[in-house]
Order: sequence, then C-alpha cells, then structure tokens
Amino acid sequence: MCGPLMYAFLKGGVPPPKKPEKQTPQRKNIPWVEKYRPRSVNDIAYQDEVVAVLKSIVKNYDMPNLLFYGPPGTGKTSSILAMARQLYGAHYTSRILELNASDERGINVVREKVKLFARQTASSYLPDGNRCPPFKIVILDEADSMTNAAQAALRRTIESEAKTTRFCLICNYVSRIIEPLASRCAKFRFKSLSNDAMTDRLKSICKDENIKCSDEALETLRKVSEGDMRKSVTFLQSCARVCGEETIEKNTVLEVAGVIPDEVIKNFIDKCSKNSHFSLQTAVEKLEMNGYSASQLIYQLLDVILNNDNIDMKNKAKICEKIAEVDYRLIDGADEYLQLMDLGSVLLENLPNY
Amino acid sequence: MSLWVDKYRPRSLGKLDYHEEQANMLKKLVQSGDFPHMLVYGPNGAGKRTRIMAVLRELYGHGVEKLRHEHQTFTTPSKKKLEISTIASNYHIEVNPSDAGIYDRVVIQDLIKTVAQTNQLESSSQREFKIVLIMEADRLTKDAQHALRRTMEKYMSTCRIILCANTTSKVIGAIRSRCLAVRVSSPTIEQIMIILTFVCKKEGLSLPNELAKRIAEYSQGNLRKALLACEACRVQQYPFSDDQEIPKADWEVYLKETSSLIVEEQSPNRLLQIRERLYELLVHCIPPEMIMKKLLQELMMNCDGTLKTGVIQAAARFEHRMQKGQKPIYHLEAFVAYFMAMYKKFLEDGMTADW
Amino acid sequence: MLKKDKRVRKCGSFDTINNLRSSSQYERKKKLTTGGGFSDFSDFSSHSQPSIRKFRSANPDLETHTSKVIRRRNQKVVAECSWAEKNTPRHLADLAVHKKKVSSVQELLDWCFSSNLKTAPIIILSGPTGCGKTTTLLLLCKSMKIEVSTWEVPPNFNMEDNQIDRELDEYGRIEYGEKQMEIFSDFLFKSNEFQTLFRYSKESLLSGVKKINLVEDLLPVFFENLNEFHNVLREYKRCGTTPLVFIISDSSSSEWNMQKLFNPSTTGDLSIINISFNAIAPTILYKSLNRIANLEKSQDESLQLPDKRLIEDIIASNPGDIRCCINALQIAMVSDKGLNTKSTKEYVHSSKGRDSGLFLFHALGKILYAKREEIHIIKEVKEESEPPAELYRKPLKENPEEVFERVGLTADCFSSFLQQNYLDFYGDIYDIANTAEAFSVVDTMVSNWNTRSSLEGTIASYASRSIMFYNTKKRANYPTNSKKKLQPLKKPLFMTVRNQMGENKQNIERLFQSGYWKPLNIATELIPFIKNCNCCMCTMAQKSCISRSFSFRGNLVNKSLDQMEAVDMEVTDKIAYSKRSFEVKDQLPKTPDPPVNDPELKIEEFDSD
Repeated sequence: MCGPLMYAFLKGGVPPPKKPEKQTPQRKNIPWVEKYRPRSVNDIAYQDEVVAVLKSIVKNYDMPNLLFYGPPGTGKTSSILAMARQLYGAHYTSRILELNASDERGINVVREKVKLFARQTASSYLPDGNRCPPFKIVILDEADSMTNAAQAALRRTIESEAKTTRFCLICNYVSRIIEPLASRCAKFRFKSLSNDAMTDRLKSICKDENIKCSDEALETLRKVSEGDMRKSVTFLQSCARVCGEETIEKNTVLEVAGVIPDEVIKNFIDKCSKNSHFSLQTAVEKLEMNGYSASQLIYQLLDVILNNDNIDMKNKAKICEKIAEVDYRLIDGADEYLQLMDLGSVLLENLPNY
Repeated sequence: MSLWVDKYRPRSLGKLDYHEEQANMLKKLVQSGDFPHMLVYGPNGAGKRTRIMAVLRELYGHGVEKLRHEHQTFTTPSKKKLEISTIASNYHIEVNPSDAGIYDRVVIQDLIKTVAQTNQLESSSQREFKIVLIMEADRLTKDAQHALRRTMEKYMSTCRIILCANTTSKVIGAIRSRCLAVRVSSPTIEQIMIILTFVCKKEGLSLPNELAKRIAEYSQGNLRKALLACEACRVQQYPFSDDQEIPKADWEVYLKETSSLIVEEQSPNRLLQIRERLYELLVHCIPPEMIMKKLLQELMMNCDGTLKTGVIQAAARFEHRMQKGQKPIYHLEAFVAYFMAMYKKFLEDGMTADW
Repeated sequence: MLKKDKRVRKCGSFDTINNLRSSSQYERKKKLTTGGGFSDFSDFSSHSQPSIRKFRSANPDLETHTSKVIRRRNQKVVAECSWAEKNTPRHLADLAVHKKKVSSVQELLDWCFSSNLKTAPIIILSGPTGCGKTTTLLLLCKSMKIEVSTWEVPPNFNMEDNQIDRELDEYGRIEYGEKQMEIFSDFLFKSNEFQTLFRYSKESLLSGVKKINLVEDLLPVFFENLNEFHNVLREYKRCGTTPLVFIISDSSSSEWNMQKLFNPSTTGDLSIINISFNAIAPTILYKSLNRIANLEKSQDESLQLPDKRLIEDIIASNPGDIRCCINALQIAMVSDKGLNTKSTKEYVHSSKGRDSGLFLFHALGKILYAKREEIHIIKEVKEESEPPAELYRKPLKENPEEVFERVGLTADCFSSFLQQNYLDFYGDIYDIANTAEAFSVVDTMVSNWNTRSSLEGTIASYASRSIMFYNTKKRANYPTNSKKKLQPLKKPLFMTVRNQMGENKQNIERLFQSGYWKPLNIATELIPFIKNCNCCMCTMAQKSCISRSFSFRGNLVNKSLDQMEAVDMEVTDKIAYSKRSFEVKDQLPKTPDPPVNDPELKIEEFDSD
C-alpha cells in the first residue's frame, strides 16, 4: 500500500536510498530534512572528532553507550542513524528503537518499550548473512526533557540490558542530564556548523532540487538559521515552495524565517531615542499591527544594542537586563504590547538622545 | 442578519483587497501541489481567517463553504469527558483547542488522528490530504504543542495543519520550523479607507473621506472593527457627515471613565469603586489583558511625562503576573493602586515644591 | 410528642454496639442513605416489616443525619442519641425554615396535585446543607398526606468499590454505569406502577392517592452520562405521573453541582421548577436551639442550660446549618455535666462545625483589624541591625499563622477573603499599593501547581502579614452598619464574577456563533456594535441576552459575609443559581406559574421574622 519510503517515514526513520529522478508527486511532500539526511558517517558535515569515533565503531563493532549533545540542527540524530545504517545495512530499522521524550513522557512507557525491545535477541548475523554487531540500539531523543526521576530509572535499565542493547542519548544541554546517567555514556559535543559547511550543503541541495537562489539569499539563509542545519534546510524548502520557479531572494527568506527586517529594528530604536513616550507608543502599536513577533524582535534588538558602540556600558547592561526580563515574561505568555512598551521605556531612558 | 463584515468578506484569494503579493504566493503554493503545514499569524482583524478560508477554497472549491457545527467528545487520560465544538466541511475541520484548557493535548492528538485515519475523501477533490485548522494556536499549552509537533510529522501524508495565531512568540520553535509562516499584517489606514468606501458604495451610500479616515484611525488597523463602526455610523445617522460621532464600544467608554475616576481621586474608597468597575468589565468577558492595555493607554494620556515610564513598567509587571496567576482582579487592582499611589505622591511633591 | 420522644430515647439507649454496627454499615454505604428513614415516615414506607421497622425507627434516624458527625466526633458523647434526630420538627410550626419558604413549597405541592397536569412536574429544592430542605418537604408531605417514595441507592452498590473498578477497568465501568442508570429509571417508572397497586390499600383509599418521588442521592453516573440522565427525565416527564423532587445541596463540590446536572440549555424542555432555600437565619436558629435546650433540660435535670453567649457561639460557628448547631449544642450541654463552663466553651470553640477551628468571620477580623499591643519596648542600645523606624511596628496581638491554622481553609480561599475585604480597613493609598502588590504575588504563588501545596502556610502568612504590616494608617471611621459595631465583611466576589463570566461566554457562543467569529471578538467587538445599533438586527434571544448580561449598570451582587453565613466558597454559586431559576421560569410560559418562583422570595431578609 505505501512504499518502503512512506513506511520509513512514518516510522520516523530515514528513507532508504533512492534515485532522485524517480520522484512521484507523493514523494515531493517529504521534508527535505529527511531527504537530505546524511546516509553514512562520512557524509556528516563538520563534526570531525565525532565522525572519527563513529568510524572506529563501525569498523570494530565496539560501541559504548553514547551521549550526544549540542545545539539543535547540528547532526546528532543524523549521526546515530547514519551509523546504524552502516552497521546493519538495509535492516537497520529492526535493530534500532527511536524514542522521543516528548512523544512518550511517562517513564513506564519508556521502560516497557525498552524492555520489550531489549528482550528480542540480537544475533551477530543479519538475515542476508552479513556480519553485524550483536546488539541493538535504543535512541532516546530529547533526553534532557525527561524528568529526573525518569532519568534515574533509565540508569537501571541501561545496566540491566547492557548485554544486548546500547543506548544513545541525544540532548541539547548536557547539564540537564543527571550525573549518574551521563557518566555511563561516552559524551560527544556537536558544535554549531561553520558558515562554509552550511553554505556548501545548501548549495548542493539547491543543485539537486534544481532551484535558483541568489547568493545574498543564501547568505541570509545561513545567517537566520544560526548554525542549525535543519532550520536552514526547512527554510530553504519553504522558500522554494513559495517561489516556485523564480529565484529565491533575500526578502522571501526573511519573511519565511519570520525574521524582522533590520530597518524595522532600526526604526524602533530611533523612535525610542526620541525621548517621547508618545512616539514610543505609536512605534509599538505599529509593530503590533505588522504582526512581528515580540520574542523575535527582542532577540534581534539584543544584537543591535550589543554592537552599538554609542551606548554606555552601564546603559547597555540595563537594557540587556530588561530584555532578559521581557523574554522571560513573554515565555510565560505575557502580552506583547505591554512588554514591548516596558522594554521601550527602558530604552528611552538609556539610549543616547539625538 | 448579515453584517457588512460578513457580507463583503472576500471569498477567494483573487479577491483579497490588500497584501496581493502574499495572495499570489498562496495561490502558487496551492497550485504547486506541495502544500506544507502553515502558521498564519497577525494581529486581530487583519484578515487571517479570511485568508485561510480563501486558501481552503482554492484547494477544494466551493465544497469547503458547506460548514456544519459538530460536537466532538474526547476522553482525557483521567477518564474525564470533554466536549469540544468544531466546525467542519468535507475537507477540513476547525477546532479551538484552547476551549479544552489543560486537556488540549488530548484534543489535538485525537482529532488529528481521527482526521488522518478516516480517509473518506471524495475522489473528485484531487487532494490526498485533509486540513485541520487550529485556531488560537498561541494559546495551546506547551504540552499540546510538543504533541502537535510529533503528530504533524506522523500524519503528514493524509493531513495538513493550518495554525492560526495572534503571535508566534508563544509557539514553540519546533512547530514554527515545521510550518510555513505566513504573516498577515494589518491593513494601513489608506487601505481601510478604500475598503470602507468600496463597501459603502456597494450598499449605495456615500461615505465622506474625512469620516472614513476617522473610522480607519479609530479602528487601529482592525478591519473588522472599522467595518462594524462604519455600519454603526450608518445606523445612527445617515446621510453621513464629516464630524459625525463614531459610536465607540461601550466597554472602551466605560474604561475611559474608569481611568478619569482614577486620576480624579486617589483614596481607598475610590479604589473600591474602581474594583467594582473592573469586576463589571470582567463579567462582560472583556479579556483582562485587554483591560490592562487600554487602562494603560488611557492613564498615559492623563499623567505627567515623568510618571509614564513607571506606569508602563508597572503595567507590564502586573500583566505578567496576571498570566501566571488565576485571579486577574488582584493584578488589575494592584496596578490601579500602584498608579494611584504614584500619582498622589507626584501631586503632593508638586505641592511641596511650590511652597 | 413526649411519648414518642421517650420511645426514641429508649431505642436510642439500646447499646452502643448496635450503633456501632449500623454506623459501620452506613460507613460502607458512604452516606448514601436518605432522609427517608424518619421514624414518623416509617409508617408510610411500604415495604417495612415489623422487625425492620424497629431497627429503622431507632438507629437509622441517628445515622442518617448525624453519620458525619459521629464519625468525626467522640463516639461516647453521641452514643445516647442525637438531639438533632430526637428534635426533628414534628409540626410545621416547629420548623426553623422561613415561613414564606414553607408556604411556597406547600403551594407548589398543592399545585402539583390540584391541577390537571399532563406531565409530571420536576422540582428541585436547593440550598446550603442543613437548611431544612428535606425536613420541610417531608413534614409538608406528612401534613398533606402525601406518600414519599425515596430513591435509595441499591444496597449492593458500593461506591468505593465502584471507584476502584473504574480505574481498573474501563469497560466494566461503563456497563456498571448503565446498570445504575437502569436501576434509577426502574425506580422512577416502578413508582407509577406501585401507585396503582396501592390505590387499593387501606391507607391510600382513605387519604386519596398522593405520592411524590424523592431523589436525594446523586450518583456519579448522572454526571458522567448527562445525556442519558436527561433522557430518562424526559421520558419520565412524558410518561410519569408522580411529581419528582430532587433535593440538592449547594455546597457539593464544584464538579458535582446542580448547574452541571440541570443546565438550562439542555433541560429547558423539562420545565424544572427550582426553589432555593437560604441558610437558616440566626434569629430562628437561636429560638430553635433555646427550645431544644429547654426541652432537654426538662427531661434530664443533670443538664445545664447554656447561657446566651454559648448559643450564639454555636450559631456563629455553624452558620445556617441547624443540624450542626443542634449537634454542637448537645455536645456542649452533655459534656457540661460536671465540667466547668470555661472548658466547655473552649470545647465549643475548638470543635466548631465544619472542622473549622476558628470561625472565618473572627479570623478575618483578627487579621484585618490587626490589633497591636499598646506597650512600647524601650531599647537601651540601638543595634546596627535594627530596622529603620518606619519599619518598626508594635507587637501583634494575634499570630496570623495560628489564625490561619485554626480557620481550616486553603490559603487560596483565605487570601481571597482577605483580598476582598482589606480595602475597607485602609486609610492610605500608599499602604494599599504595597498590599495590593503583595496580593498580586500571592495569586501567582497560589496558582503554581508544583509548589502550592507545600507553600500553603507561607502564602497565607504572606497575605495576612502584608495586610497587618502595611496598614499604617487605619481608616478612622469604618463605614459601619448601623446595627452592628463591626465592619461588615464580604465574600469574595471573584467566584461570582467568574461564574457569570463563564455563563456569559457560553451564552455568547450559543447565540452568536458563526464561522468567522471568535468568542473573544464577539464580546469585545460584535456585542458593543449591536448595542450601538440598538439591537436592530438580532433575534429575540440574542437581544434578551445582551440586555440581561451585557449592560454596564453595576448589577453585581456582593453578599456581605454575615456572621451566620456558610463559609464554603461554593456558596457564592448561589447567586448564579437563583439567576438561573429565573431563566428556567422564562422558558415555561404555559404551565401555571407556581408562586414559589416569585423573585422577591429569593432576596428575602434574614432578619424578617
């Protein structure tokens, strides 16, 4: 009914290798993030140290429990999947169990699933006769969103299933993994992708997908995604959808990424330095009417403030403190208008007047 | 009863009055066949809903306008039954999960699951997916948003999700990055004026430019509000005159009175009176954050420049606490009390300075 | 009457074992037995056999109405016999319920039987616990010779087990639930059959057949299968002949309240008539207690008559609940034997009904008045760590933490009472600003689910100490009530506001919902617009909704917290209820208006007698 590709997709795994020219309309719906996931350890961009270790695992079949951490979109999940593919070939889906902490939160669910999965014995031969390592891999994505209790319980599970199962924990912040659990794993840090690595990758996707993208747009794309490969690929796909046959331009990228144009930010700061609450109010109202997201605004504003040498250090500190406070309140669901007004009033007092 | 707002609402992408470029883009998107999940955001009355409906029509034709109201029942893990009202056509279903409060996760998961699994699409529609339209997506709990993110991936083949929100600040990054973000900004004053004049012309009325401008300014970019105000003007007085009074929402007037009461006297008794008024507003289903916002605007107009920063910061602080708390009245009252104290101090200081 | 009393006394003093046994039996039943077991009514109960009757006439009385009390209190004290049962009014004249209310119920009953009704009337009697709903009805029925058939929960049905079942087995629960509903509808319809059967019995031939069905026990099933429940009622309305009376206490938890069971939109066609009882007025309570005390004294010389103060204390601690009051009186008088009065008083104070150690009214007063010692502490040496003079306060007379502990409310509830009332005690806006700020923090603390339970004490202490500390310039002349010396305290309006808000929101959604409108926009944009257009284009229902609940005319009712009123937060719901009953009334223009729904009756004064 549904092809192996859809099957893999629904399973959350990686679609098996395929030829680009055989694309059916249905396949077009596949997110490029999945489509262009690295297929082998060698394809992983920029994470040289990790790649070296993974390569040796592939060669020696000697795998410790792993803990991957680093900012989003740096290839953590891709790495472990690519390695699994290399270890088990086409049958890798039966040998790995991917669990997402945000999917099944309860520790009992995790434990049951892991137990059930670990109970199946893993032979050191694949159905097609090839040799493979005699263990299975459990991938725990977003491990840092597991509660401490769940992590503690996992510690036991890891030990009791050690014979047949290896664990790979993936998280953004290693500090959120409890110490006893972290100490049972080999830790690898994934760093944010470099500009070049990212641009290269984006360019190659553009080539494969046969889309035109101006250099400026590519540069913007790289900038707005902040070293997050997944983000940049998603944005690229969205841009391609919006533009169709046309060349992707900078503005499209900004719009799709929800980034606020620099002029708007500059305008806001200008209005705030006029030392008039009335102009502040109109400025905020205008921002609101344009529908710009306040959290995005303060994020970009922070950059501008930090890089502005005309502002006294003490004033800068005050502004930054307010930005932090406003950010916190916005996360709590506070009203954007009022928070921006608050921030604006601090800007008003701390920006040099023109 | 057919209001002008509903009567003259553009039904198709081609007929949208402003943001034509965006409309073109949406059109292309629909035609390309590769329709992603969407996140439509923008301020109140900017036309998000109108655009979404136009997109749906572009996707499925007139069939989407045959709406039916349904009540769906969901069962929470604690076996509590929830009834949520939905609006659905053969091709899409609309739901406002914030009705479900903290159980919105269940609603999201179950609804999308059922929609994605019941594949009873008419063969004529050429689309292999249905649309789930989620209103007020920014009011979803974090839990529900995480669930949504997984569900989005899982059922990508049979269902697409359109999220409608006022702001993206409260939508988690993981969802934002999985959706095509479409920002719908408010129409400008000129655009509103054009639309008002157009609608009046269709109704066979002549709208003076000056009045149109005043209505547009009053509406603060909210087209719906502008059209309603215009129609109310029509009911109150026709033919129109330039300096005709625009009927304001009664609660806004009420709040204005409230703020002048605050400025007039700062005493415990007066605060008691204000409290009653705030309660009254809450009973009328005016959202507390809106009360806070309008109150701030009114008070700022009435107080000295040196106080403004303090007022703004207090409003922001109390509004944040209001979101964290459960009883808006505490925070509204605290804000008013804060203002009164500050204002009184200012007056007293002014007096001593004069001496 | 005396004779009967003696009989009961004799039965009552059987032995404690009997009591204990039956009490445990009832424990199992989880308070599900109804008030149908009145000794006077056992004559009517159709299925009673002599032996059973004997049992019923003695113990169930005691159990049914005091089972709560017994379990809470010392068994020994109550072992004799509960006065609450013994002194259950036997004549309408003895009833502590307001006469108007009684006569309105009576007229309603008359109406039920006199006119040729095609459908069975459904009546709800609502009100706070212990305000005499059941007693009134039963006495009236007795005097009017109406037979009462009471819905009893099937004896094999054990609520607690069911609870467990539910968690364990989803399917089992549903089946069970249906079974319960079946039993309920069996009860309703059987009564019709019985009626014909009993038509030929001796009694009923003499008196003419009058009968009502009484439902006091609301099963969880009713709430879970609301639709089914309503269907049963509709069916009954259609085929039933006997009037059906529900007796519902207001104070049941929020999930199980009347609003949920009988919301106007779904049961409008049932044309339900609602009579809401008020809490019993203190003056009436005082009289009744005096009467009972004298009565008991006449029977047992060893008892000491309580002084006026004690009775007042009892009334204050069990506001509006006559049952609790009598129980407290009994304990006070019985334990007074051989004890000095002071300890009794303390006992009354410490054992005040509803488990609240300190009556709310006093507790709030203690915090709000924040009395301080009049002594000056003279310090010889000024220490460096000493706070500046403006932060110095004289020592407090009351310890707020103790007050909170004794009042037995949640911090949330306690602080909202304080918040509602503190403004009346302040004379200075600066102080208010500080306190309001503190309350803003209190709300955020209360709303945090993770820490709420562990911070209960802290929150209450913060709220009360803020009030006590910041109030530097107390209001010189409290706007006092002419009668009382004390400042009247009010109940938190917030609950009422929230209820009304929810109700309004529902109405909005029901009446104005259309594809493009969100409820929020309807409230802030559409409705003001419609009002500006003088409602020229909306339906009658919409118009009435707008004029009823969307006009700014300051129609919020704030009830003052009288010393005598109930403490439950839920009580504030009452206002919403009575409003609802008007609505229901609006929807049944056909049936002759029973006089009971006269709005005036609902706003009656406590003091009128």
